[in-house]
Formats: sequence, C-alpha cells, structure tokens
Amino acid sequence: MWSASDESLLAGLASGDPASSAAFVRRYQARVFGLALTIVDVPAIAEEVAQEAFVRAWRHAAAYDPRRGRVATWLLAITRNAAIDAVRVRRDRPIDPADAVLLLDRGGAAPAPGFEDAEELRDALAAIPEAQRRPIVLAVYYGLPLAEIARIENVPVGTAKTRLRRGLIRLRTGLGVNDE
Amino acid sequence: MSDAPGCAHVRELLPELAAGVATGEERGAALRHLAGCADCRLELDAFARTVDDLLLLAPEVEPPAGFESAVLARIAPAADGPTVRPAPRRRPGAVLRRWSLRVAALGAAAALAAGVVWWRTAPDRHLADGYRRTLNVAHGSYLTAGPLTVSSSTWGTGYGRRAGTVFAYQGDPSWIVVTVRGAPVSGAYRVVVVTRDGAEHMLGKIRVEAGSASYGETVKVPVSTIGSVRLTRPYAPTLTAPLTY
Repeated sequence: MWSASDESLLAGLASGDPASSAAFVRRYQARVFGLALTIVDVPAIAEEVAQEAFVRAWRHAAAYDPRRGRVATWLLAITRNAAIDAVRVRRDRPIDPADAVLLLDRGGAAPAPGFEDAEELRDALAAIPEAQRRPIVLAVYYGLPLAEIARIENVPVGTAKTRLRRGLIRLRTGLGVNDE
Repeated sequence: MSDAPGCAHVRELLPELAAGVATGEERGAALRHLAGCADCRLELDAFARTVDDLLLLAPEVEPPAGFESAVLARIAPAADGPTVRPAPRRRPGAVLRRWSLRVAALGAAAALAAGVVWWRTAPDRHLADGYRRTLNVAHGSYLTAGPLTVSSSTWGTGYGRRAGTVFAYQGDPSWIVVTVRGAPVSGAYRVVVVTRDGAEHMLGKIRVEAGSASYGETVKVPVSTIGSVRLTRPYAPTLTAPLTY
C-alpha cells in the first residue's frame, strides 16, 4: 500500500476504500496540516482546516484530472482554499507576510523524495526581491486581492500589481535578473 | 495563434490570473481570449503550475495524534460501499479557484480543444487516467494483482518460484482471475480464497496441464478482505498469491 501511486490511493479514497483512504491521509497529512498551519497560524484551527481539506478531497476525488497536475498540488490547493475560508471567517489576526515568507525557508533541509523540483522553486523564490516575494505569498497563500495586498504593503494598487507580475515572471523563469 | 489580437494584453494578465488576483472584468475578458488561443492557454497553464507548486513549499508538520482517525470518521459514514462517486457539484466556498479557472478556460474552448494536447503528459498519469476510465466502465473500485509463487517446499523443490498471477477486481460483481505458468506439478487444484481473518473460502477447481492454466470466477467477499489466493493439491506444492490493495 505504501508503494501505491498517489492516483491509485486517490481512486481508493473516491471509492470509499478504508485502507486506501487511510494510506492517502497518512501520506499527506503532514503537508496538509503544515500548509493549513502556515496560513491560519492556530494549531486547533489548522487541524480543523486540514480535516476539512481531506473531506473535500474525498468529495472531489472523482473530478481530479491527472493531466492538470499532481495529486499533491491538487490537494494543497484544496487545503489552501479551506484555510482561506477559515481565515475569512475570523479576521482577528493581521497577516504578516514576513512570517509566511520565513516559514517557506526550509533551512537547508533535504527535499522530500519526489519533490526535488519544488526545492528549485524555493531557491527561485528566495532569489527574487523581497518586495516581489511578499505580494506573491499574500496572493498565493492567503488569497488576498490586490487592493488588500497594496494596503498591507503600503503601496498603490498598480505597484502591487506590477511587483506581483514581475515576481511571478521571475519565479517562472528562475532567472531573477529582470527589472525592478 | 500567438499573434492574434489580444495576445499581448492577455499575456500581461496571465500572472495575475494564475495567482487568482485578476479582477472579474479582467478575468472575463481574458477567458474570452483564452477560449480561442491555445498558446495563451499553455502560458496560463505554465504560470498556474508555478503558482500551485508554491504551495509545496510550506513546511511539513505532523498533525496531533488522532488526526487520521478523525478524518476517516468524517468520510466513513458515506463510504460504506465501494461505489464510485459522481463528480461533485460546485459549491461557492469550496471552489478550487485556480483549478476552476483553468477548467473554465478549457471549457470555453471545448470546441477547439479536441486537438489540444497538454504539454505535460506524464505517462504514469495517463496510465492512472486510463485505469480510472477502465474501472468506470463497470463502476468498479479497483483492480489488484499478486504474483503466484510456490509457497511450500514439502512436495518437491522450487520454493518461491514464480508460477503465475492472480488478478482481483472489486466491482459488481467482483471477480478473480488466475493464470498459472510453470507450476511444478500438473493436475487438479483447489482454488481457495483466504480472507484476512484467516477464513478459507473454496472458490472452485482448476486443472493445470503442462504447468499452465487459466481460471476465472466471481467472488462474494469484498476483495479488500482477501489476504491471499491459494492453489492446493494433495502431494503437490501449494501456490499462493498475496493480494494487497
């Protein structure tokens, strides 16, 4: 079971197979909980969000299309959305993008098997200017609209937009040599 | 296609679209363009993958004890039977935002999309897709297989040697197919299903000739409860296939 592919475990989850479901949860619970905790910052809420993410994954499993990305990113997108929903409900904690940016620093730890490419992305993220990195984190992790990002960053909306755009372009190319 | 009017404008918007921060108006205009421009769709897809992959950078943190059982308890009440669930309805709060954007772009382009091949077509994912489609043909849940090997050395040599394959399908009906190749002793064998609680269920008989045979039968017990399938014959080594799922 531990060697089963993500897709086959997801198929098992969709069909309600207990062993596949358990293996799927075990395989991803640390990633899901870690992301939820990164976004909501409160362990008890993160646990509820992570549970909700798995329930949504189970509910949506039949709609998963492997052509559009791997299971991990699909599941984490669900987790992010569940976390954003939770954060929207309790707007009692101001978001500090520096916190999240710091959390994304792995501190030199070895990448998990199968996710080496994500470490290249981490390096690329670290290589872009912080002024561009923060809007990316605020948009991607917290789902904030540009106006809110601009308010937090204390810059005009147009500037926030430009930074986000340039940051993502740099991230994609991995060059970190463009303008700004 | 990339020189079509609107490409330059839409390309500028792609990072914001991928990050989910484009305004509704921008998003609507971009989707109209994307519906007719495969090149821009590929660009959007590349940005969206980058954005999706950013979520992999969050630290892994083990959840509190009991997490797994709490999750399983939440999905268990509706998961009593091995049924393939229909595609879920979209719910506003649970929309997969960027995913749905990409789906929307593709959906709008449905008429043109027949010839569009996604640039990333990992063979294993196609295999998984094919597996799912195969299962869906008869609403099956899964297909598993185990190597049939010589599992006793009492009657002759060859312990551990491969002697065939057992396939098991969970569906309605569930079935087992046994193929035997290279059995050390020919003749009639009993096919026995051994469930994980140790109980044995006689399934039928199979005649092995010149070391080979094929056999298929429906099974009443859930395949997930089957630990192994055994082929037994007096004065012959037992052949056993463990099944995992």
